Amino acid sequence: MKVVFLSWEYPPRIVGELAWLVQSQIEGLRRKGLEVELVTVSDSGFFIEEPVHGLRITRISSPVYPHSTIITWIAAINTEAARVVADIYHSTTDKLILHTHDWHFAPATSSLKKALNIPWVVSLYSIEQQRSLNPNSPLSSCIRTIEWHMARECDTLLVRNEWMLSEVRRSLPLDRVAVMVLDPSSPSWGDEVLRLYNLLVKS
Amino acid sequence: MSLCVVMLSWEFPPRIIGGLAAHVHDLSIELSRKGVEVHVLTLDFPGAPAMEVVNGVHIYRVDSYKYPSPDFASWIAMMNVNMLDYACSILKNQLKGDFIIHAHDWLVANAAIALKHIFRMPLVATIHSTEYGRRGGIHDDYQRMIASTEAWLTREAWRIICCSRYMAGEVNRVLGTPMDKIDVIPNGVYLENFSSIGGAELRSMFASPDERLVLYVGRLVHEKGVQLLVEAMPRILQSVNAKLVIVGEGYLKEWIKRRVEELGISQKVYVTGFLDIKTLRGLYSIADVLVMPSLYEPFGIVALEAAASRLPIVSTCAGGIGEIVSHMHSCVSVYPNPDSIAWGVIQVLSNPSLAEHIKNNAYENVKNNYVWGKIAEQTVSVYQRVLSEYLSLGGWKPRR
Repeated sequence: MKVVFLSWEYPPRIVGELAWLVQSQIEGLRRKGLEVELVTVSDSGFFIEEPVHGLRITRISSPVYPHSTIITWIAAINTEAARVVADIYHSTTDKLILHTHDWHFAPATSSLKKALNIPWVVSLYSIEQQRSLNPNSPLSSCIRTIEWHMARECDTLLVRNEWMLSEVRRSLPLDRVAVMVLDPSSPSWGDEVLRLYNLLVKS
Repeated sequence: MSLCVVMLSWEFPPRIIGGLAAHVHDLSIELSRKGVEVHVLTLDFPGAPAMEVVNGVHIYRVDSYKYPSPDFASWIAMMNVNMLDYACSILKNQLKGDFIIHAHDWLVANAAIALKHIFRMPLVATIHSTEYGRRGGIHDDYQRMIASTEAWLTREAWRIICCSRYMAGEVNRVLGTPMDKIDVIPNGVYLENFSSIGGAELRSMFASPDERLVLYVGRLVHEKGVQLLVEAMPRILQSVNAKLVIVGEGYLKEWIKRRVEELGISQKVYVTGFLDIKTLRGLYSIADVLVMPSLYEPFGIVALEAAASRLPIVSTCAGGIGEIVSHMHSCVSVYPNPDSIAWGVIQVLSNPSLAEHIKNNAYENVKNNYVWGKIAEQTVSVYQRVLSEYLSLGGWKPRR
C-alpha cells in the first residue's frame, strides 16, 4: 500500500499552518513504515525531489499563466495533479490511497477516485464559510461548491476536534461520508490513520 | 480497427452559442454513420435530456455550474470540474476498449487533458479559432491566460485539427504548434438542407419585387466587416435598386441602425437580428448576392451555405474564405473597403452571366469537397493514424 498526499502547502511553500501539519503527518506515517508520496505546488516550475530515501515529492506548477482568479489556477493545478497521480497509479502495482488536505485538490481527486477506484481521505482544517469575509461572494461560492462536492464524494473526512465537527456539520452535507475526529498532534494519530487506510484498501 | 471517440464541446444543440454546436453535431452524426462509436459530453440545457442517443450518437449533458462565479474563465473552470467528474463516472462503465478524446477549443481543455492522463488515451483537439485571432492580438492578462490555455491544449494533443490552411498557419504562428502536428479538415454542409425552399411570399417580407436582395449573414462585430458593407450601400444604390438584409446579432447592431439613418438609407437596409434556420435557408435561396466583407475569418461557413444555395458570393476572401472560393471563378473577390465592396456587388447584380458562372462553380466545389460525408472520412483517417501510433508505442497503455 502507498499513500499519496496532496497538499497545496509543503515547506518551503508555507501559506499557513497546513505546510507544517502535512510535513509532520508524512513523517509520522513514514515512521510507521508506510510508503508516502507527496504531490504539492511549486511556484517555479515542475520538478521532482527525493529529500530522504523513500519520500518522493512532486512539485507541480500551473501549465497556464497568468490566471484571472484562484479558481482558474486551481483548475489548471488540478489537471496537473491528475496527470501526476495517474502516472503514479499506472506505474505501480501497489494499492493506492489518496489523502488530500483542505479543498484545493478535491476536483482532481474526486475524478481519480471515480475513474480508477482509489479510496479518498480528506483532512479538513478549515472551511470557506469560516475563512471568507464574504462567503456569498462569487469566488467563495465556487470554493464552497468544491467543498460541498468533496464532502459528498470522499470516503472519510477527518477533522481535528469536536468544534470543527460541529462547524462542518452546519455547512457541508455529511450523509454519504464517514466523519472521524482525529487530532493530528495526538500520539495515536498515526495508528488510527493506518487502521483507516487498511480498512479502505480492503473494502 | 474499430473506433470509439469521446467528444467534448461546451455547446451542442439545442445549446447553441456560435458555430461550434452545429459543427460538433453534424460531425458526430456523420462519424456515427461511418461506424464510429461516438460519445458527446456537453452542457445541460433547459428541456434537453441529461442523456440520450440520437442517430447512434450518445449524448451526455453535464451540469454547467449555475452558481455565481467571478468571471467567465472561472465559470469555465468550474464547468470543466463538473465535466471531468461526470466523464470519469460514465467512461469507466461505458467504455471497455481504447478510445480517442476529441476536444473542441480551449473551453474544455482542463477536462480533456485530465481525461487523457487518467485513462491514458490519446487526445485530439480541434482549434476552431484562437484568442489572438478573435481579439486582433493579445492585449491583457485575461486574454494571455486564454492564449496560454490554447497553447497547453495543443501541446497535450496528439494531433491538432484546423478548419483551414489559414487557421493552421495562425495556430503555428501564435501558439507555436509545429505544422507537421496539424491536419487541415474543413467544415462541411448538408447540401440537401439548402435545396430551394424560399418563394415570393418570403421575399415580400424582406424586399419589394423591384429591389435586388443583398444579403449579409453573420455576427455584427468589427472582425466580420459588416460596417464596411453599410458604408458601401449608398454607392451600390447609385447603380442598382437594392435592399440590404443584415441577419445576425452583435455589438454593432445599434451603430448600424444609427449609421443607416445618417446615410439616409434606412428604407434600404433591414437589420433582422437572429432568424430561425428555416427562414435563413429560405433567404439564401431568394437573395441575389451574398456579401462576406470579413476582416478575420477562421473558416467562413456562410460561404459554404451560400454556395450550397447557389447564391453568388462577393467577399474579401479573408482567412479561410479564400480557400473555399476564388476570384471570378466561384466569387467576386474585393478589398475590405466600401468602394471595392460596392464595385463587387454591382458586378454581380448587373452581369447575370457572371453571377451564373460563379454560383455554379461554387456549388460544384462544395458538392465535391465540403459535404459532411467527406469531412467525416478525413476525421476518421486522423483518428486511425492517432490510434495506430498510440498502439504502436505500447508503453503508455493503462493498467487493466
